[in-house]
Amino acid sequence: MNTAAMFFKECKKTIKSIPYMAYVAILLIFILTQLMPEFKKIDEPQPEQRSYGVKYTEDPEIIMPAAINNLYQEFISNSYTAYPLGFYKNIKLNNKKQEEMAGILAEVTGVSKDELLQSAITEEFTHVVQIDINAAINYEEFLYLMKKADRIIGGGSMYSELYLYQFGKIDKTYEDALTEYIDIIQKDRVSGAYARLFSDYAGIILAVCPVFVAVTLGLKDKMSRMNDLIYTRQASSIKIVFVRYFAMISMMLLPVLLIAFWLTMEVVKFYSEESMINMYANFDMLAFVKYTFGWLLPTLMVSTAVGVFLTGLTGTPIAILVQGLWWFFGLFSGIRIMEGGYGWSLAPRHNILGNTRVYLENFKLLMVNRIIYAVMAIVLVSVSALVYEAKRKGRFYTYDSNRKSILISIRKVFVNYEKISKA
Amino acid sequence: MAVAILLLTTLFFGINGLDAKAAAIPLETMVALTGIVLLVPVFAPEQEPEIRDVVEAKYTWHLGVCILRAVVSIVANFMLILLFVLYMKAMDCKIPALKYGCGTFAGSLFLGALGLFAYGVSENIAVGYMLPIAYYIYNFGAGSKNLGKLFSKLYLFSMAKGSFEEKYWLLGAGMILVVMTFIIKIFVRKSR
Repeated sequence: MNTAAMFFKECKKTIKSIPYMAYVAILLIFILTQLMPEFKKIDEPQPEQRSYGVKYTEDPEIIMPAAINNLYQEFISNSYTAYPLGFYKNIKLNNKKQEEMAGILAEVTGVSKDELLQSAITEEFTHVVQIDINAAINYEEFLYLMKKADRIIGGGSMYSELYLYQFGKIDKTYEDALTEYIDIIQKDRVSGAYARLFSDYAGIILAVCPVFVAVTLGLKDKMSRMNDLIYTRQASSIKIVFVRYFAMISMMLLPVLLIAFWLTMEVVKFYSEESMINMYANFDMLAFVKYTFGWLLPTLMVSTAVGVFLTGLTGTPIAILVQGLWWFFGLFSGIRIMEGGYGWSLAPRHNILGNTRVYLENFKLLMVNRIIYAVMAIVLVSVSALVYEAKRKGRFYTYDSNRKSILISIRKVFVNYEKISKA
Repeated sequence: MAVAILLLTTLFFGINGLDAKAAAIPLETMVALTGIVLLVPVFAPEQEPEIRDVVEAKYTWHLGVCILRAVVSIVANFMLILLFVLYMKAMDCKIPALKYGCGTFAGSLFLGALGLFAYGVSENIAVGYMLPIAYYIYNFGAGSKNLGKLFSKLYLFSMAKGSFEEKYWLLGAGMILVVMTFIIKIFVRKSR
């Protein structure tokens, strides 16, 4: 069978599978119910508006008192908030560590350590002391002390480098809002901002749902006893595995692309009252498609590749568990960079309409992230082809239980190990 | 696997000295997932048609065995959740143990029953895991207000928002789904 015919056959097989239909339904429901309410026209900010939202400043005059006040409140109630692995954690310190924390607070406020400890042990907080930043402390010393406080709490606290900026929260001015609006119009060409929000929502689904499709199709040959028949065919293992993989990817990308086209039209509608010249000069009609390939495709590739690899290797649905756990922990740890920043998430978050500056500042990191994940997916599928080739040559089906190859050891762990009866 | 989920919960979430709302977060977001792990694979041992045909030909009523498996899974799930809640209580969390145990179990049973139903109807284990995970994502993203009239009654994370009413609905819907799964299975078996 030639490659094209094989590809279309695999596409047909993918479309007809129940998990694929469920995947399309879930994707559509999620986009309609979660994303669409967020899609609205971005209006130009006007002077004298009541509010323009908030932003974070790096001004020490703002950050230092806010952080110290927060630390003192947590100290007196001995209840520290931390997100060491992205999950909310409430930390209670023992007496020794509370004393160390009192030392830090004393240094940063100038209030005596004993007085601070006295205020912390009073149940009704009747001895709460007035605290102000010690004028003798500069910002570098303050950062050093916050790092120490974070270490005492166990890391991931509000005083860690990652979260300290949140104490610099201030209201946006009209000028800030206007600059942001201009960025959306000029740098995002309007639709880019919407496409990022779409990528944020669709990424959540694409980081987990494709693995169900890959597992089902991977197990199908085993369930219908087709393995032996396929193993003896002339087609190379690389061809079989990659054609199947690309067929799955293509079919799962198809609904994403269709939704992307539809959303482009929806965004065009928001701005249909703008003058046509202005509209066509600014609007990027292909933004959703670009983001689909650049942002979403690597996520889809990896979650499918994990399914292909682990199902091929073990012949079990273990990939659902592995990808499910990866997705679960990724989702929670991504909460801290919900509005951009990206890091090494499989599904980078950008849960805000706009924030173009953050996107542009982190563009290189995002690009490296996406390339690494795409390469990882190809490597996983290549290894799957090697495993498939080994299976075709009967390496996994040996009756010699004394052979100590790694593949046999893996197989022993998972399924159907056959050995000759001693009898 | 269910025990591993509980151990991971203690590792990733802080469960020392939490108030009622904060304590509900690890229970509803992570501990409730044990239902999927325990209840969905009830039909898995006989997933392959040949094995199923052999098992169904035996004198012992096969679906009776599956019902027994489901009951054991549900009881084990309840016990595990209750033990975990009691452990939280021992760690100085300000929670009514039985109420929170039952509330978490209700969400857990619903997720597991949804998966069991999907698996039972589709005879595809991947779909069985997919549906409860999709519902979980849906709840996580939408919040109670954006779920619509019907699904807001079946909101999974209500205890963290201070509401317990949804738990009765989840418990009821979970039980109905389990019963419906077996009724459908009986009809399918008779029609074969």
